[in-house]
Amino acid sequence: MRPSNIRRGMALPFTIVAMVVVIGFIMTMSRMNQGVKTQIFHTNNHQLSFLMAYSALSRVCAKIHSFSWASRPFATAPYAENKVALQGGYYDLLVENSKNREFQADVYVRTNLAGIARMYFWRIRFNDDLLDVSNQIFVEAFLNGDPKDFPVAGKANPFAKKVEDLLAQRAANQKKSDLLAREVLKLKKPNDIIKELNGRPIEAPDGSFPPTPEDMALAAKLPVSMPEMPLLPGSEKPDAAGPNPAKPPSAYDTMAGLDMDSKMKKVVSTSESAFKYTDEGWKKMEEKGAAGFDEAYELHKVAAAEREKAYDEMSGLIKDAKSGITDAPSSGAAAAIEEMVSQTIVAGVQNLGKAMSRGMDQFKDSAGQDYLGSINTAEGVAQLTSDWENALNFMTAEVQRMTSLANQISSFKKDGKVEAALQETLQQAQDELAKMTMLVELAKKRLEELIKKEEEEADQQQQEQEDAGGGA
Amino acid sequence: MRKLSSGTTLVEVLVVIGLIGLIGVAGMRFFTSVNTSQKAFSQQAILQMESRKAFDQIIDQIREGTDVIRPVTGETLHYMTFRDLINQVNMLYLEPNKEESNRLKQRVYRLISYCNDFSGIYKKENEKILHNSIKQLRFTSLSPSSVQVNATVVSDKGEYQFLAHVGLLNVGGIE
Repeated sequence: MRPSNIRRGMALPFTIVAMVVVIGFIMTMSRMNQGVKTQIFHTNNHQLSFLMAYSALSRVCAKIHSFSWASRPFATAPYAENKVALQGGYYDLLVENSKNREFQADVYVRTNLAGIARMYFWRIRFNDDLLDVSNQIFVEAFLNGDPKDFPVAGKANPFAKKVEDLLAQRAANQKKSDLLAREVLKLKKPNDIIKELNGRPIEAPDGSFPPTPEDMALAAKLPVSMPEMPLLPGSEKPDAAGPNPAKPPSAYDTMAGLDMDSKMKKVVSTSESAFKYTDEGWKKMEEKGAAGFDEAYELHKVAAAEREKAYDEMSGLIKDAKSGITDAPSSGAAAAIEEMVSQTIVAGVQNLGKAMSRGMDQFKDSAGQDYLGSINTAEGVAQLTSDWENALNFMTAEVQRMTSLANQISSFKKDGKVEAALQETLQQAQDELAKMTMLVELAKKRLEELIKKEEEEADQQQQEQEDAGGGA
Repeated sequence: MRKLSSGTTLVEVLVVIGLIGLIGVAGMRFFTSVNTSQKAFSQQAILQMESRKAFDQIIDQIREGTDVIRPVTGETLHYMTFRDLINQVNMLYLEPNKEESNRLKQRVYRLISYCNDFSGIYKKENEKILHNSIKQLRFTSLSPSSVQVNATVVSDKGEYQFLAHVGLLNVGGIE
């Protein structure tokens, strides 16, 4: 029997609808949160992967510390760990002795976190010093690699070759880099630094939007000046041979090597100065004409002295470099000295070549011939010929000295661009020499013509006088 | 008299419809506001993600360095010079970005990395733009082989501040 007071209400449909709405709401919220969580997780993936790899490296270092270097786990064969779970991901590890290097090991770690694989490489060096047990492991090289480069024990490893190449390059760049870093440290403004690094000048703001006060304060703040430490003389070195050493300190070692740096700087500054005084001398002549001769003469005298000094400094530098190359601790260091010195010599030769060419500016196009043509007396042309012959002798000597320097560094390792710059400078000097030779030849020819002409005129005059005397 | 117990009265239906309407409107408004803040949060996350991606590159670059040249230890500057794995001198610096400044109506900068390869000339391939809209950048050197990077990145989605302490790992070359 059906009870008569049962009402068919809406409670059940309402409850169902409410539940559907609430479940839908929760699911939507949860999905949205999951999306954001995933985004943030991926954002952290890079850092977390590195931390995983660093943990693996720390474990390797701890193992080396726990045993002695001689009984390290990878002493006889590569040590590997696979799929070690960490931080919700895993890593693979391979450690092996560095090929042909004592007390060095290559550590490869490949991490996998949330499906993203990364590879990190460390070359570590063990310093077997019982007196300093807290500082025994140094990172010789660290690199991010491609996960595909993770090596397989016992098989050829191209990544190790890449590391060797990079380390050789590092050794070759060491001295150049030290020199450049020291120059950079002296500079105060970002634009000066980027100029020193051969970069593009930094664009200035157009003033449309004002900088923040913090930015202005920071831009106005100059970097601290570094104190200049005077170099220790070679004789005061802790390992100096004592008074009157049989062999003078080599130009290349950790301390005396700095002397070579200062010599290189001198070569560049002296040769630049030779060009500067030559240029100023010619400018005086161009501005004032004959009135500027005395000033120009004085400037050219200074330029000549600087030029002589530059040649002496370049010869000294090459001599020191050869001694430094003989004593260099590695072939990489020797190559670095060669590259550095050849670069400096080429810069010096370029400056001296420029100074020589500056004098030839007055003969641009046909200016030399025109000037010669404007002198109509044999005496004037004879004087000019003598001056030009002197200039030719000077230029011939200059070209010979430049060529001799180029020959002395011919066996030195050089960058392609440096070699090209040297050849271009020498070629230009030869061209100028050929031009001067041609001008001297023309002057001699013109002198002969004028002498002949003046003799003919003198004869003619004499004839006329004789004729006039006879007639009287 | 027969009791009318089945079905609903018009008043009941109206009350129910009214209640459903009220709950629906309140629910929708709540949902919309949650959705809006969720979107804003998601955009912030995207900004963070994009910025972090750029800064991951910077961190990788610094990590592969050997030593910091500028700023010197204890100094804070808006640029940084350091040597990389092969001893090339690198510089990270800011340059005004006029297009982005006009778009965002405030002064923003490009973060540029330039590397000197000792060739003696400028090479375009040695210059990389790492980020296009940096509002502020600070490098503080904590030791010759570590630096703290503090940057504020700005976009139309908002601002994001990034702070990291990065160690230069190739110290073996200079010890």
